[in-house]
Amino acid sequence: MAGYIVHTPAGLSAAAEQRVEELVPMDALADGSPVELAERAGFSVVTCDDVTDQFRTTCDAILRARERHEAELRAVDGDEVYDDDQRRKVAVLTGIDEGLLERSLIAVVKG
Amino acid sequence: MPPSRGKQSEREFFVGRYGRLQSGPARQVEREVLGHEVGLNGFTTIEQASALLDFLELCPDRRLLDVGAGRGWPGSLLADSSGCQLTCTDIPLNALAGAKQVFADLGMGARSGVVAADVVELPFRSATFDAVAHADVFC
Repeated sequence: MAGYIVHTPAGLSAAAEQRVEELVPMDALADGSPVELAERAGFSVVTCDDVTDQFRTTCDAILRARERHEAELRAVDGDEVYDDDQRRKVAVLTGIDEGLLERSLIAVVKG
Repeated sequence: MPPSRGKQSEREFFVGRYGRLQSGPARQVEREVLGHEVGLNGFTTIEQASALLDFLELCPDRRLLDVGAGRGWPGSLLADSSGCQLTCTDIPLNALAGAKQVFADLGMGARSGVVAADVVELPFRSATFDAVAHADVFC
C-alpha cells in the first residue's frame, strides 16, 4: 500500500492540538506520525518520506491560481463557496507555516 | 456507527464540492497547478501520483484498490500507466460517477470500476486486491 497522508507532527502540545482543531477542519487529518499509525494497524513501513515542502508549494499555487480565476470561479460557484474554499486553503497554508501540518508519502506492506 | 455531526457535515461538504469541481474554471486551476484535470479535491500532482508506481508493483494481471479516490485520482493514472485492474471507492456518488467518466475517457472502462464505500467498512473479501493506493484519506 502506498499513498499520501496529511498529518500533524508527533508530540504536539495540547494547545497546539487545539490550534489545529480550530484552524483546519479537515476530516482526513492524521494525528501524529504516519509510521506509528501504520504500525498500529499492523503494517511494516517500507518508507516514509516528508513531502511537506511540496505540499506547501501546491497549496500556495492553488490559492494563487484561484485568485487569478476569481471572477470566473465566483460566477460559477457563488461568493460564499468561493470565499469558504479560499478560507480552507489559507487555513491549510497557515497550518503548514505554523508547523502544525505535514504531508508524507508512506509505503507499507502487511505484517 | 452513524457519523459524528462534524464528520457528517464534512461529507456533505465533499458531496457539494464534487458537484462543483467539474466547472471550467475549477478544471483550469487544477490543470495549471496539478497538471491534470480530473475534477480533483486534493494536492497530488502527476509527479507525486507517478511516484507511487515505484512501490505498488503494478502490472496488467494485478488488482489495485484506490480508497477515497474521489474522481479516480491517483488510481486512474496508476492503472493507465501499468495496465492493472482498478477499483475506486469513496462516498460521494457524484465523485464516483465522475471517476467512471475518467475511466471511459482513458479507454480503461472494461478493467475499472467504482464502489460506494467508506474506507473503514470496505465490502471486499480479504486478499481481493494486490495493492492499495490512497491520497489524503487516512487518519
